[in-house]
Amino acid sequence: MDTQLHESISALADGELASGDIELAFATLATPDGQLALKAYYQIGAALRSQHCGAELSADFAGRLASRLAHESTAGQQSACDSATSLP
Amino acid sequence: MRTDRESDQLLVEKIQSGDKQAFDVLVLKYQRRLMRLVSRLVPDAAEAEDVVQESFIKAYRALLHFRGDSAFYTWLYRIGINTAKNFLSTQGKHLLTSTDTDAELAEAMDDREHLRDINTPESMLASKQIAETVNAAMDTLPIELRTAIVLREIEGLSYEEISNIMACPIGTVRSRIFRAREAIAQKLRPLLDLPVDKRW
Repeated sequence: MDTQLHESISALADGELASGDIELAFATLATPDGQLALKAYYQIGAALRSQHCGAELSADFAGRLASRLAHESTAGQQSACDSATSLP
Repeated sequence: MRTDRESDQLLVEKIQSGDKQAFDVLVLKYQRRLMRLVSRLVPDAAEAEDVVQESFIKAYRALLHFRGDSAFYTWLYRIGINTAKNFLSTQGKHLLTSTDTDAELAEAMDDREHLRDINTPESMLASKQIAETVNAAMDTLPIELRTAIVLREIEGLSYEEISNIMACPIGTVRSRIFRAREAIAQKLRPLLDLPVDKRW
């Protein structure tokens, strides 16, 4: 099947297909190949969102970040510093 | 009622006026989402977490100059993606380019076979195996394809939002997402083609 038609199905699955292309995409979806492509794309999306995918933050993430942020100056202090350094 | 973007902008303005605690709210709000994204680009969990930390620090330092032309999360994701890319470069890890998989993908285009309906009462093991296959396929994708499909499928962002984050035209986003899907579908196909009772 035409790659462009499959790309249209992919965009259709995302609700991002231009209105002018919708008719052709639906015609493609009426074919077994189009239906199988759509099914595969949904399968991939479901797997990516499943609990088996992606990493979780460790328990000490927040503490480590807070510790690093504590050593950062506040935005106001940065501003004063920036102003001071930008003086001629 | 404020939109998410307005609410974030309010917090940004508080931070810009010196309220450091307002940044904690943004961290709490986006840390898991940023980790989900970064862990797709940097597979090692500990390294991904370091990249997320670094991204928040960079964001904090740069917030003074954030004018709100784009949504905060768009800006934060862009920082996260760039930080991940820089990390992978400094680690000497190969950043696949999209042309690396073009030939492989072209072969896949010519080899379309029927996928089985796996939406039947199957074991948790079946889902896990599919997820593992998808994960493995994701790791072989060029970083720009990986980023695009994660932003779409996991973060649920629109093509326009993704184009803002990835600084590329919407047509490129559409193409990257499609190519990512096709490359993953190719790896998934042998699994889906097997009869249910012979998969494992």
